[in-house]
Amino acid sequence: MVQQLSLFSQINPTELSLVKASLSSLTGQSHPQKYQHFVLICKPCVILQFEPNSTKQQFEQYKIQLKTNIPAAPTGSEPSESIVEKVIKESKEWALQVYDIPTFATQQHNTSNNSGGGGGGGGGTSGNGSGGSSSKKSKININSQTFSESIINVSKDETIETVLKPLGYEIQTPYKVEGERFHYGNITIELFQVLVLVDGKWQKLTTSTAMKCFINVAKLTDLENSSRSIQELNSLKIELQGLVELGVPDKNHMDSRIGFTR
Amino acid sequence: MPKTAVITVANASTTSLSTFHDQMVLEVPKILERWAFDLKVFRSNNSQSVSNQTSFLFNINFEHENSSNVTIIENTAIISKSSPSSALLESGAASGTGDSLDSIILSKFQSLWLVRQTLKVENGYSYELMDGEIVVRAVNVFLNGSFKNFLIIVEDRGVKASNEERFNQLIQRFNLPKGSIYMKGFNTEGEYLKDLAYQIVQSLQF
Repeated sequence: MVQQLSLFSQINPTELSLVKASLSSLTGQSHPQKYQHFVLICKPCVILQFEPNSTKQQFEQYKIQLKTNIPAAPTGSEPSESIVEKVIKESKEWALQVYDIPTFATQQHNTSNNSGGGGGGGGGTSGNGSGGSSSKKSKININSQTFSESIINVSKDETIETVLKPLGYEIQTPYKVEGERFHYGNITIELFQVLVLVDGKWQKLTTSTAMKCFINVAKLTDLENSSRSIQELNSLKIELQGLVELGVPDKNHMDSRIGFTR
Repeated sequence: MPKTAVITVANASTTSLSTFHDQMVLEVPKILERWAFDLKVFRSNNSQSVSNQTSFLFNINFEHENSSNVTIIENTAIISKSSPSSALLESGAASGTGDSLDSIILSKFQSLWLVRQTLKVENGYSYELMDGEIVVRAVNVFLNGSFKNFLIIVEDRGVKASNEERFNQLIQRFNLPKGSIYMKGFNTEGEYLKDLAYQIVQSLQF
């Protein structure tokens, strides 16, 4: 279980080259790392209805993501439909990820009087006093989401589909991510586009490019590390002000729970 | 590829392990490090689903095998691990957080699987015999604090195709205690842990 602190933005195609150039000079990376991977969104085979006033114990259901690397680019002549099937059939190592409920990052302040500006970023500073007079928790406009990940090895005569089935999950949507990666201090900056299958062809979901800046904090209880990461993300946000407005999108779109809430 | 067989010793008690240890030492084996595994039994959560069919999910984590994790559901087995390959990391598919599959099943799949029992089997002996061709492992299994089984695992790492006959010869050769033998598995090339996990689950008879 890892806590991921992240900020997002989207970049119009006209601004893309400028943003890339700026990030190159900021990070000192003239050749950002290119990456691409393949993702399957999976849902439980049986989706349970929430029963109000039920005495039965009810559990939330989560969508899971299965990610794998795309083996060496196949020749372009093949239709994409078969590429999806090919990856599902041939890829033998998958990362299974489950994301938890997204929340605002919180930070502990030792001096309660001067808080508010300290978090920066225009986040709500609804104080959540924990009894003591000198410490105060404030919400900061940075997305904080925990996730778990396990690596599944598929044996030769099986596919990821046959592995998922007995677990009680099925494939819902395949998509592909293509992007470039910069590193700035502890922050990973990813510029990527999501490609979906439309009429058997990979098509960009949007013309704009998504930008995600994140730091993974290994332990949830590591408050010192977490608050340092928050500061680091905030300073990047200030650094890029005017060029890119980093923020947090609607959290409902990042919630992987199903059935229970909607 | 190693082949395995699991023996549940008949009429065993807590002291059988030390008796067995004394017996094995006479074979002058190379004594390997202690081994352990962790077994979780899940039952399908039927409280809200339509079907009333109950199925079980077994998860075994082999500590001595790099914490490899085998999940067995009915007649399929899933091998998972916590560290991704570099190809997955570079492509951005994995981030290397190092969780095991059973912890995800435990916390996120509760609508499908509910944990029923957890067994921690520790401090097993391992002996390497016949120049590393054979590894014999022995361990006591306790369930809720009371003694359940005395397990002996024979791993045949030789190149020869091993079969029932070969295991019977080995059992006679080393004079292993009598009991029920479990040798069936999935027989997938290169993945003997699946077989071993399946045999352990069969032998403990939940």
